[in-house]
Amino acid sequence: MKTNIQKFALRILILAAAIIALLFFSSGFVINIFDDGDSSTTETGLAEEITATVELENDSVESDENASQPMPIYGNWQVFTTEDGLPSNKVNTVKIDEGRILVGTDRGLAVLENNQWTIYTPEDGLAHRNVLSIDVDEDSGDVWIGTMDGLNRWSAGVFERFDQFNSGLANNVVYEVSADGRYTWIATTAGANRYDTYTNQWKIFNEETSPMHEPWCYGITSAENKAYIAAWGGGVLEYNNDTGTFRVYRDPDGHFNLTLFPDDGLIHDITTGVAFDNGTLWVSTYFGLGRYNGQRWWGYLDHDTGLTSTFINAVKAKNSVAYLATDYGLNTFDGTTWVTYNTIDGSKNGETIITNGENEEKLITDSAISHRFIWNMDVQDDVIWVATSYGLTRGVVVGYVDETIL
Amino acid sequence: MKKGRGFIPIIFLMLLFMITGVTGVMGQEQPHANTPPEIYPFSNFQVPHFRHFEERLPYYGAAREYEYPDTSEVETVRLGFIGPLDGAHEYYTMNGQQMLQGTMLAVEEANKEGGFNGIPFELIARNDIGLWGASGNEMVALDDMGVFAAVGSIDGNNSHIAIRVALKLELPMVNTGSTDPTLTDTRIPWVIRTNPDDRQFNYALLNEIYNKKGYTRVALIRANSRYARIGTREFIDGARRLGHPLNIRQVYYPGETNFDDYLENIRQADVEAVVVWGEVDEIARIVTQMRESGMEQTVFSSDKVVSDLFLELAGEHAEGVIAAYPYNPNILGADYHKFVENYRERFGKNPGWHAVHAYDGTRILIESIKIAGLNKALIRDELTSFRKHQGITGDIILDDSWNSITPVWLAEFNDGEFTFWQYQWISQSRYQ
Repeated sequence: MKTNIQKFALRILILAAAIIALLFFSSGFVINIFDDGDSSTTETGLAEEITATVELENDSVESDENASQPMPIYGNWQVFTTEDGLPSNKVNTVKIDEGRILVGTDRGLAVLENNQWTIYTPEDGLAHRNVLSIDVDEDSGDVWIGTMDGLNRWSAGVFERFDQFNSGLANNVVYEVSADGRYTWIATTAGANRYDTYTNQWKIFNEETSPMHEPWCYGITSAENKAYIAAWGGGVLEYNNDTGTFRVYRDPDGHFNLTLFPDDGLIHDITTGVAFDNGTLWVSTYFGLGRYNGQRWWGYLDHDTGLTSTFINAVKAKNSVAYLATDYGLNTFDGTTWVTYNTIDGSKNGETIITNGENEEKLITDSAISHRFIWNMDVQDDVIWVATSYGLTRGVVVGYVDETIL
Repeated sequence: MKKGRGFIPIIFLMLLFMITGVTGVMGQEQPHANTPPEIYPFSNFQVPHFRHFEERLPYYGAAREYEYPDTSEVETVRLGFIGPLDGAHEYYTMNGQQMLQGTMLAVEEANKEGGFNGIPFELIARNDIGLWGASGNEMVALDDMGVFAAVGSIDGNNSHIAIRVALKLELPMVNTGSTDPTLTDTRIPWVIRTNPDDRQFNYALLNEIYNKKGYTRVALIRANSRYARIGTREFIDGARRLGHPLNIRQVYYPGETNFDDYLENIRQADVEAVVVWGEVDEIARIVTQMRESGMEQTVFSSDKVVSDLFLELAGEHAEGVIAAYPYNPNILGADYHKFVENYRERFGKNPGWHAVHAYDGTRILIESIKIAGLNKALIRDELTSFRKHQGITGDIILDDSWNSITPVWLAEFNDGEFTFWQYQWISQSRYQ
């Protein structure tokens, strides 16, 4: 009997010690190891810096978009600011359009083509100087531009303006536009739109015409004859073009101040962006990242994953990789591996961290993204353009994640 | 030796409890929104995987480095205002005007004291009722006009739209009039709210109804509007968590004037108290029709009933109505009375809480500008740095979502006047 009590006491002792150890380690001890510069932090020159004029096509690794690829690692960061010709250092958005780069700033639209910047302002027909979103219709080549005061279709050199007074646009503050052949989808601050470019008909989605819990739309994308709307405070709405019906994704716990379970559904209702590719829906929020494969949801926060911040301004998807614009770095994630890119205070060097959530590899790079606060980004082939709070950054794929190193 | 070993696990367990006690079993020393533990969501069966708003969100953007106008180039320091100034809804426009007037007084006083380094403040006011989503467009217009910060608004929908635009514009904003609890639950590090919201009012009513008066059978009748839906959510959830789910909920359409059917349903539910949430004219009608039909249950409602308009509309039937209110005007000090005097002199009427809070909120904003200068991000830094501020209604206390958790008051109308008492949660649970 006495022996049993001693065994029980010993088990309690071990359990208590384990819990205390867990609390101790979770309070930052592991992080301190890296801060002290252990062997996991390695100095490396991922690739040579590009310091010459812009080379849009010849400096990237060849790839096949449709092939299943390991996680790309970007580098060779090249920064553009007002000193290089941008109208402002506050860069809201960027879009790669074949041989040119379309850049939305708070002081106009900037276009980089043949190594030359051309700036467009309201004097040229731009709806408003503050450009928040840009998309290109691959069929027609028309450029759609969402601004703080109306929507533009830029076609054949002419800016056509759409606003609340001359069209069915739900509101003049256009946070995102997505051009998908016949339909152009628009997320405004007070409802979403579908504009039929064949018939010029507008469809308005708000709390009266759709199951939109709140009408404040932040993001919109279209894929596979569906549209996905990020309704800020209302989760995500999926609209089926064939049936004209909605499916709504909401945070099951229904509370803004907590995440009850991370994988029980959409991580949070304060959604900021949506992206769909390769059968996966990615949802950015100001409270974490959501991923949905058509069968189940995953939710990601910053304290227990590689996500550098739960405050995510926008999300894009390419094949199986999500690109996340956070207020504390650029993140990429394929469901298993995180690669994050950040600046280092007081240094021109950058920091690339590769992690699967348990192990991580930190790389110091010779160049860095222009600022850690990311507003948006665009990816094509092996090139990424990043719109930041201070400048525009271009990067190229310089390698792929070897998961055996983790 | 063997005897001593028996104490070791006990010591470890005590240590463990001490560690968990420091961090708090419930997670926070003071939960988000000052929510009482027994009505914290899911507190009866599950600790959340993660609690948001346990610390203030830092602003990591580059706006502090942007070019801002040199002081020598600025003729006036422009401040924006958005609110319901002109429209069909009397209650909103009345309070929108009061909010503007409170803001005006704060600006005028600041200018008398020398403005910003001798440069006067200039207030630019815009109406946010009209075109759908007007507050967004008006915020952009204000930014185009070069404002350094803005004050507003009242309506929850318009306020939400405005703060999202403020986030993208990176424009500091002080909300002094919306009672929508979700407004600051959105992690926008450019916005603070200085007035208590409906969540705080709901907690006060829950405490009064269930904890103090001991009622167990309660009805809710509310408008089918966003304001009433969001404004009563914490009450409905809280009643359920206290073990007394509402006996009956009735939802009427805005504009309805005959509530007989709803009231008959409530009568049949045999309740002890009725909570009424809607616009002030609707509340007055419901109370009147209740009393005229012989229903004697205690009526509880929102801050809207503590107004001359409600007393005028409800007449004798206002007797006994209990409501939550941001402060007690009867005990406030010299600063408050000086403001009331100035307000009366300037505008010829008594100020409601929208005027009072607009005055306080604008003064906080002006003080922030005086300290930070004409850099919007630095103004933001200053604005979002305080936790407690001495206003004319007492301390304004902000939590980690920059929302006011200033203790609210309850008011009961009897014999021609409101009697006020302060809300303080009476804990009755295992978390005591």
